Amino acid sequence: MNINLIFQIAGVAIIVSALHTMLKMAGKEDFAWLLTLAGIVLVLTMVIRVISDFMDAVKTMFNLY
Amino acid sequence: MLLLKLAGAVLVVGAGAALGHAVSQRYRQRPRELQQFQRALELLVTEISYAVSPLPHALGRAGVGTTYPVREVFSGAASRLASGGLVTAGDGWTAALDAATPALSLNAADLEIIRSLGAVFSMPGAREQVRHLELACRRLAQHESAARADESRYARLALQLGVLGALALTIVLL
Repeated sequence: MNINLIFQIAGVAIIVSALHTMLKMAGKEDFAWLLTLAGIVLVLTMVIRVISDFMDAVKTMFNLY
Repeated sequence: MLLLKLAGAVLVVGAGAALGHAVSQRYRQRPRELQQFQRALELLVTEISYAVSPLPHALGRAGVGTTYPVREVFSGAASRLASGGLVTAGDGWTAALDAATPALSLNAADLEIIRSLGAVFSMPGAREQVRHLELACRRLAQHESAARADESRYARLALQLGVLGALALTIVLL
């Protein structure tokens, strides 16, 4: 398990939440939500490989091939 | 390898901060430039209506109290008109404004007001010119108050967006 991935996701989450708050304070709610969506997509692309590996492991464990 | 990554991260954050700073500087400069144009136009009105100076001289005098990009417009127009040739007052003003536009932080609507002054300078009759210049001043004042609101809202935001966006990119790339 790569621990760096967890720290990367945490870092992205902190920065996206800070940017969301700032944009909301500046009255740009639509941009704030777009940015949050972009953050979610970014994190999903980061974890998609791990989820895929997890699914493969489940399939192997229960002989689902 | 770690040193190289660290240097790359510093470069990315530095570039993001510089980008944010450049955008925030445009927000900060816009109200100042609009204010300088207003002051210069007020001076120009005085030169035209009371001192009855010739236009090249009046434009030169109006630009004296202004700083770099705004001064370029007035001094450029004055020198174009003073150099003679077949340059009308409107053409000289528009050419000087076009030359200075890349350095100005004004948006298209602000520039349109200032560009329309070219037609005012070509008008016969000082009274008409003064009336139009005063109208342009009032419109610039409205734009200035909107620009000040934008400055207080977005100048810091742009800087923080640049730095935090660069930090997010660094975290993803590391």
